[in-house]
Amino acid sequence: MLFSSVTFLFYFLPAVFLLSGLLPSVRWKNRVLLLASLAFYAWGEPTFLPVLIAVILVTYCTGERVARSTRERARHWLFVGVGLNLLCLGGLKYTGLMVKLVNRVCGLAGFAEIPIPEVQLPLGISFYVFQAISYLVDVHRREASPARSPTELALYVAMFPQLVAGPIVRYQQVAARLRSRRVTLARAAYGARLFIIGLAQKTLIADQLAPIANAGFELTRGLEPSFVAAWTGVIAYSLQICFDFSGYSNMAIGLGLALGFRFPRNFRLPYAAESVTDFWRRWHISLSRWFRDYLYIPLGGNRDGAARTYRNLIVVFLLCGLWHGASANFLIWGAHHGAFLVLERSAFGGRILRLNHWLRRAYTLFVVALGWVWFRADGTKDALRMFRSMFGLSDAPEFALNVLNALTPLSLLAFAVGIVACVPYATRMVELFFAQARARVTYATPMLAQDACFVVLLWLSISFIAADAYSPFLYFRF
Amino acid sequence: MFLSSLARSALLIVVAATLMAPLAVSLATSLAANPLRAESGGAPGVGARLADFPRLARLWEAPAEYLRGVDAHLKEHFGLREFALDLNARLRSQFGAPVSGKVVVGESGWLFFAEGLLDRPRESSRYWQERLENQAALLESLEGAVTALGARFLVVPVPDKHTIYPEYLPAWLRERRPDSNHARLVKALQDRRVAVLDVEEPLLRLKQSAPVYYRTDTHWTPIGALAAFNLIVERMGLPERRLPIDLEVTERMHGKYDLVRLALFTKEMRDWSIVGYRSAVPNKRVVMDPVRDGSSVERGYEATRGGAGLTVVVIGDSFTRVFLQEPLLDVAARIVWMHHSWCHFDWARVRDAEPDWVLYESVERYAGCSESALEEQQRAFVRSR
Repeated sequence: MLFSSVTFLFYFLPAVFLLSGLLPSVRWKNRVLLLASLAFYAWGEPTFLPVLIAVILVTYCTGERVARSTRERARHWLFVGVGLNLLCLGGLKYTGLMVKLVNRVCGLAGFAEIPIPEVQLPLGISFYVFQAISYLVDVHRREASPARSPTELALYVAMFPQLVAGPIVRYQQVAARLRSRRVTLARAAYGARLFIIGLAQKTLIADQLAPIANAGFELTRGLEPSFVAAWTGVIAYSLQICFDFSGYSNMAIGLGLALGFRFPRNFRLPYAAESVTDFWRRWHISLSRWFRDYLYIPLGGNRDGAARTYRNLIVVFLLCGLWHGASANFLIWGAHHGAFLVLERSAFGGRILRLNHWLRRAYTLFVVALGWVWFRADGTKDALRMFRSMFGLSDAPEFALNVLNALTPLSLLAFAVGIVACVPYATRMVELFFAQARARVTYATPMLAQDACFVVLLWLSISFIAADAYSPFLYFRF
Repeated sequence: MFLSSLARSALLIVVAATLMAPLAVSLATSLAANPLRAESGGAPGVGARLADFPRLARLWEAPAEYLRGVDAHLKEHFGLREFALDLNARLRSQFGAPVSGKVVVGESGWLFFAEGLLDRPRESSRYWQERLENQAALLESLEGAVTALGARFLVVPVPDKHTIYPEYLPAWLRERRPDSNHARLVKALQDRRVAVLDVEEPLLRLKQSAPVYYRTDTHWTPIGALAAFNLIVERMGLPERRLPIDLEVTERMHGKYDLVRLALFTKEMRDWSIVGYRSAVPNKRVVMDPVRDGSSVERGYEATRGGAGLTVVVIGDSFTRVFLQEPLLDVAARIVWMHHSWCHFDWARVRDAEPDWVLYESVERYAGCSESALEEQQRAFVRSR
């Protein structure tokens, strides 16, 4: 089920909040929330539900063993739990890629090819498996106490706001609220505002930019787009993915707040970053932290000299690329970011630091936009065609018609709003406006004005949801 | 503090009311009408009906598909939908033309489907030529396989609307529209001596006196379809089965034709209503048997009218699925219709139908086959021998 769907907004969400609000105890609220989350998950593809339940059961059982065993045995149980989770993720997500690689090697050696199994990827598996692994590791490290009941753990793994596209939450961040929580008026109102912001980011900006991005990238199927068409497509996609994903995260955090939970912030104006390293502190923060805490630091982090640090960074980003998808493009995307992180730790990084901060931002945007080409293109050939066009090597004579048609006044407005909303000064100016207004006018007036804007945004978003065609969240496929 | 609580409460109340109102209105209206009933459309094209509520039996047969069906139904039937659509249309109209990426708004109230028009710039000509050659090779092989079954074969490529009515394209697009894949496919087939019927010229002539395509729908009108039918029966050696094109044409406002919906218009647009088809076979009783292949999506159908007669297999798309069914059943006792599935049609079904005639019809925007489709089908033809 999509957050920006009629079924979710008008049927599922009111039902969950009504039931949750009417029930007196946290225990009952948890049960209802768990059932609702499983229904939310099953709605997309019921056959995937057993996978989610299996992950929960395996994680709960092995987590119990990890918590109650001696240090040495706990380590064994940790390997079992993490191994089974990774097996599940790897088996469902990477079997096809592995078979393709084996076939390539077999083909070179003259052996017959193995048929590629058609495995459907369960929705959000990369997210909930990572949450399950973080739980096991944190219990082993004694950073989190084990779940008191299977329901608690199941709710932590499967809670519908963050189930299919994050943010990736640590168990200790929600454990206390699984046992006792109170929804205050202030938190509920803040949650509602965040949810509306997220919905508007998705429907009013990301979805309006999608036709431009699609038009630009569609051209790479069979030919090279012109220089202008290529850059238009890439910039539109850069904005689309940012507002799509941060919109989803904001909706998830807002829903969490309204239900009494506090999820970590996942985006912090990523396109205002002044280096690629800085970008990863602002983009999909919960994933970056997961990789830092559960992979980069255990690999040695930056403790064993420059060479080891570079190796660790490359390994982490290759795996980060593979986490996003089982294809060469994602692997290259990971390598692209890893390589720039390594570069920024070398002498090149010092030169970047000496640049004016606008130039630093331009450099970061350029590198990130190049990365998105790998991320969005359907294959390496399409990506390479796009790069040829972006670097002026294409001889396509005219602005492609499909891009031209996608540039409607509405999508151009979304383009402009998207760019402005990415600039830190614009956001700060809005905040400042309301802060000043609060100081000068009566207390409630600016708040009411602000809330009236939120209500208008909600109505506009709903009108687009009612009118628009199917628009899946980009990050659902991971 | 009090004012701040009041403001927060007001926000939450408005948000809750906004999210609950559609359900409340749905429930209220469902007391007056059964929401599970099937709705009838009114538009001639595919996808023009609002989604029906899926049959409950599908929940056990194909749960995921059932839930998708419920989703589609709720999306098109929630309370206050008209209000939301109207708000959206007003907003879009403030920003120039209410255009979705799928539709090109032409002149004089004409709409065109963007697929096949905007995604094939002239620079891609060589790419499409290769795909058209693949399709011509596939159809040549298909003709051989059909002839080996003792049946006869005819390809009827259908031109896109913009090929017949280029004068209604927007000015910026008129001179830059893509090269005609229709003409290129016909030529490729003629070069290979595959039996092909080119309906472009006859449709261009007929459009001077009657509407052969709808203004606000992707498809040809029953007049265009009937003109094509007459040409087909002539090629089948049955000129006496030609039908008079004397349908009743009126103009009125329509809101449900497929391009109107795709363009996200909520207003109605002027278009033709064409009725008055009279069957040449008196008291014809057509029995329809949809083919579903284990899912609720119709993969094709078998239509019989009883009695002896020809069996015609039609490998086609929405241009033949409904539009040619009636007249063809005047000629044939049995029609087996299947989608061409972009060259991946089911050859086994063609063979098992024991046809007298096989007609291959695909609209211009679907012209072209991938190399893998060509190889896969050619293997299937060889296996069946």
